Amino acid sequence: MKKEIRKSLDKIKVSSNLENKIMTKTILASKRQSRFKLSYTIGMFIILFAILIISVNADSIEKFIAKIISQGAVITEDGEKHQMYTEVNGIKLQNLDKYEKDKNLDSTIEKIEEDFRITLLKYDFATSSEASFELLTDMEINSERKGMVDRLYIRQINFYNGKYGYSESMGGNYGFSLDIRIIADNASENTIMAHLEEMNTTTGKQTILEYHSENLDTNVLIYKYEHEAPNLEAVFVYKNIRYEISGSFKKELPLDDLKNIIEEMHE
Amino acid sequence: MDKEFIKLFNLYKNDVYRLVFSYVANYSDADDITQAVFIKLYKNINKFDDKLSVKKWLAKVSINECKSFFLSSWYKKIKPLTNQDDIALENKEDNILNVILKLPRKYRLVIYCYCYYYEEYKIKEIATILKMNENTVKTNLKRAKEMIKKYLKEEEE
Repeated sequence: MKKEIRKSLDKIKVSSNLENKIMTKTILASKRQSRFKLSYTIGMFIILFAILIISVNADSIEKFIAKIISQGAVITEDGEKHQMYTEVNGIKLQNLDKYEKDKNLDSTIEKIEEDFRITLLKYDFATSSEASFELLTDMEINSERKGMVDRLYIRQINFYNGKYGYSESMGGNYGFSLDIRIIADNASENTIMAHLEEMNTTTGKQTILEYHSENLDTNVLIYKYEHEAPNLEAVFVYKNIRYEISGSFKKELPLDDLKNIIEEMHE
Repeated sequence: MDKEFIKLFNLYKNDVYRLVFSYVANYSDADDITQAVFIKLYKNINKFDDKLSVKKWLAKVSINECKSFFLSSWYKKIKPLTNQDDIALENKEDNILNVILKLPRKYRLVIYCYCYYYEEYKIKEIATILKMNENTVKTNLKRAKEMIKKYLKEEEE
């Protein structure tokens, strides 16, 4: 029976028409496969090339971005003029390990305080209104590291003799605050607030924030100030309104609080 | 095109076609499925070590393609122009083939495997190819044989 069945089934054969069809389709499939392989190879090459370029030029890119974000010049206490990005690069990166290895908490605190014994640079806001605010927002961003330092943010709007002002405070965790007074002639509170918002937006704050977050997440950025309570002074015109800015840094956090913060940091 | 593919195609084209036809019992569908199986073979041709594994692989892929075909919305929506009666008319002088085509789908497949794989593979391997239990294969084979005998007897009468 098996032989008979097989004999019958043997009669079923591939027709020459189907043979040709399969061959044609397979040729097309093989061509498609070759095209895919070529596209895949080219794609992979482009990706690898891009990775190579980025890794080789990472330092240049960092400087490039720093340059973009720093249009205005800054003048230090000694009158020396620097490009802002130099100052950004000049900010010391303090690795947390430096503190964590020290078992003596008091001396650790001393070291941190030493790092914070600072000279506040005197910024030349007059050269560029946007750049001056950029500098402020940059400080805000740089101080936001590892969740140890609160970001600088506008805490309140104050009125000074019928004119307007606002103050900012740098993160409480490190115990330093920055109070800034803004006086603007002939402008309503709403106008000033709108201008501040515009200036913050146009300086690319978000870009800087993301940039630092991605690249420096294991480090703490600390500003080096040479005097404890230096002053900020600035006069500039933004959209036909003259702004006068003055401010100062203050140390406000009690030592015990600082101690607690460091203990939390070590846990 | 690879010489190896052409060699394998010539070697196994009829086996694949017979298997597929035994399962779907329709020339047009068998054509399409056979074509799909060989395109798959072309894409995977570098993965085989020996010819025996190619044969086994082709059987598995053919059965899978047939199953996919039966599950496809295309199959569920269309009504074939040729049916088993038409095929029977084409092969009216071949009673056995007509009887086989009358069998339910699962029995046709088992009969095919019985005829073409029985020498090379044990029931266990056939069960693996068909994704069936060994006992199910044996039972289906027994029932298929019985049905063929019954149909043939009816035809003679």
